Amino acid sequence: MLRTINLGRDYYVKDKNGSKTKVEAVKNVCLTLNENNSYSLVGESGSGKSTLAKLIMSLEKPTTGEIYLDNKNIALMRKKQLRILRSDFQMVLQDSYSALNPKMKIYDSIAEPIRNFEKLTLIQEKETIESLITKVELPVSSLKKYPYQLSGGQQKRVCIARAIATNPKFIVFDEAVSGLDVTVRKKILDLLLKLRSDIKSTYLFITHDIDVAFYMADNIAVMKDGEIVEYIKNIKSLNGFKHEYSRMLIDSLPPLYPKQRDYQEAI
Amino acid sequence: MSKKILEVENLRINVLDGTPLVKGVSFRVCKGRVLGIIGESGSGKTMTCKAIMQLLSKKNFDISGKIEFKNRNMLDMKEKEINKIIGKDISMIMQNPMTAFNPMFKIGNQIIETLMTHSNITKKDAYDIGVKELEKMNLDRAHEIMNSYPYSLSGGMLQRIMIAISLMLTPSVIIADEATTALDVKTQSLILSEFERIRDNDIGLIVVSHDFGVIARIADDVIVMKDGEIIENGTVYDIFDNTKDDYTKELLSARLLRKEVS
Repeated sequence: MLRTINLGRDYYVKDKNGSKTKVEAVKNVCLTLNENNSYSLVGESGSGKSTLAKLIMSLEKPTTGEIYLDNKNIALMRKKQLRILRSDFQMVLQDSYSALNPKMKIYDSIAEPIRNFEKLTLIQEKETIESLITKVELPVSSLKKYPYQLSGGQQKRVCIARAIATNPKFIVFDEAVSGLDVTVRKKILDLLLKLRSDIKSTYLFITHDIDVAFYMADNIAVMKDGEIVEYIKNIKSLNGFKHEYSRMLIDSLPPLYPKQRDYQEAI
Repeated sequence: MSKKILEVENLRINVLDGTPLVKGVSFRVCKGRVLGIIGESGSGKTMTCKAIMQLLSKKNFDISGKIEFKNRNMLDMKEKEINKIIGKDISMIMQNPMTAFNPMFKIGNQIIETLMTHSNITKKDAYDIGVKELEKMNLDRAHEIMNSYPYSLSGGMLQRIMIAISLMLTPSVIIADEATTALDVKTQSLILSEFERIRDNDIGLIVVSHDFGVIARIADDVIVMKDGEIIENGTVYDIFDNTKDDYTKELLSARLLRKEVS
């Protein structure tokens, strides 16, 4: 469904003397994302994960390479052409409080994408929004609230409801569960897994936590310094990772039981 | 039996209008051991830490009970005496390293300022101690760091500098309040290794977290908090193997179990 070929993006950074140096945030990324599948992209901060997400979402233009969505190169498209396609791909960001307009009620936040792409009567719109909010397991009464009246986990659920409002083929989650309490994180992840079996869209899950990546997706790509260093399809266990860098990420995970601690210290 | 340094007994914190935040918490911190405090957001973990650090103003909070440090109750002390202990003997590492530093001053200035407030040394000596401690934290190019502003360093680096500063004054208790929550897994692992080193230096450590992974990695004793009360306590092995309370079980089940562990 979505294919990137030799995707690259450079930035120029000015140093103290005012001379520019080139930073390659993403280099030579070739990824193929198929319909109704789940993918994870893992890497530490600064590895270029978010830049890659922005490129795929066409929020940034690539310096080199092509992005094909159903055989159309979206890297070359104009804004107007892209706008029609936008309903097919959605994004959920890390900081849900700043992603929601503080002056809009939750109802309008969720309604916005629907109003942009579909012509519905007020009654139909209300029905759709109510069914969306129940899908993300929030009470219908929360539609009348403002973002600041909801907790972090509830705001995240609103962002998810908004992302699935247009029945997208493809959703990118950029560190969507980082910074949440572990209990809340688990609930959100389980909700996302449940939703995926309903709406049948492709997930691209971007995270620094290989545990989350493994929990969410069957196919995992590991990214370092802008390049994909390891890609495993249909992963069965974390033992499948062979690359040095992936092993390092796995070894940094905290142990599940205190008994494993002695083992870890020995490494 | 290791020696106790800090003992909290029946600590109660109320807002002045009577709303209870912490309802009778007791625990002790021992030399060379790590006490893990775990609980969800809003369970009173941070309030307990702040009470120990005397950061809660008596104008807004009603604090009763006992916080005993070196056999003296800190709640009865005068402000002058408290100021001598806080920051020097008991120090705290906060959750967000980005906001813990003053963005307008270079790291070096902030280190020197802290050192000179608490001990009688010259600026030159303070600088040298600063560089030495930064190097101990596995931070290369310590001179460069002393000369840079907080914004130019990463979160993990700032957090390590924070730990270095708190260690410079040779405290006997360090409170780490969600110190690794905002960091990525790799940096978290680095910071936790530093904590292990601190523990081996005979310092009592309180690690506050909502993540059982962190607790499993570093804690010796664990208390589980909910709604301002301790609902379960014991050694880390007790908590994991013979979980008694349902709430603790719920917290444990929030870990993402790997299908297989290497």
